[in-house]
Amino acid sequence: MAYHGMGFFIRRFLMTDVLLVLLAVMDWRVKGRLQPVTAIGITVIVAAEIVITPLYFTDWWLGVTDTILAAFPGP
Amino acid sequence: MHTAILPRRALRAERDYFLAFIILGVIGVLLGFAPPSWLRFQGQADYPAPLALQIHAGLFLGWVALITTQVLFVRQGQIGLHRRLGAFGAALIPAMAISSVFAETYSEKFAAIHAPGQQRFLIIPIFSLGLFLVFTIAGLVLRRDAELHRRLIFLGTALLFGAA
Repeated sequence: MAYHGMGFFIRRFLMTDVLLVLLAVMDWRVKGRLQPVTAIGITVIVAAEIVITPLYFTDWWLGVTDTILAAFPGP
Repeated sequence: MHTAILPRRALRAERDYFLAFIILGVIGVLLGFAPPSWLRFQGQADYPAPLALQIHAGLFLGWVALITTQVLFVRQGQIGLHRRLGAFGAALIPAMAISSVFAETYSEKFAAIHAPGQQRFLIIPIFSLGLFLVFTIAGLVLRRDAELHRRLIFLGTALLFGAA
């Protein structure tokens, strides 16, 4: 279950963030400035990453996860 | 004098960036999913893949194929084909969302049995899928504004490529 490790957790954000940087660079190179939709999108995504990273490690979130999972079929 | 030329050059440059985005994303998908897929085909997978996971994988690979094809259609000026295929993409999004719910909950339940506590990882697919839906649905609604449409679809897709 290595894919659930901390390394994977960070890498998952990293890939998205690299692509967001590419979008931002594109705006600056092509349009001369960051377009509002790109700026809002990047802000929302990075803000969500910042919020969920500490949340991930809390017992509260573990409890919420167990409650959600109890409602679904599975092993 | 350059006003008629610059927008065309800018458009071409923008299309090059979107192609680079797709190439980078596909490389990420290959690096992330090829090794475990290879192990699975060798019968050495470290977790089972029920039908829900197989459908989920197929639909998300379908999105990668769709977005790649759409970028190539736009580069070649095939806007009619781009729009027709876009309608298929609009139908694909809810199927992806539903398959994600079952695939991710199955995966986390499996994780909870074999590595208790790791089911907390569910927060990542909730974050990725939630924002993917927000950006791509907004991109479809605002499809008549090509610049907004492109950026919103790629913001959503950046979240999916992160899964690799």
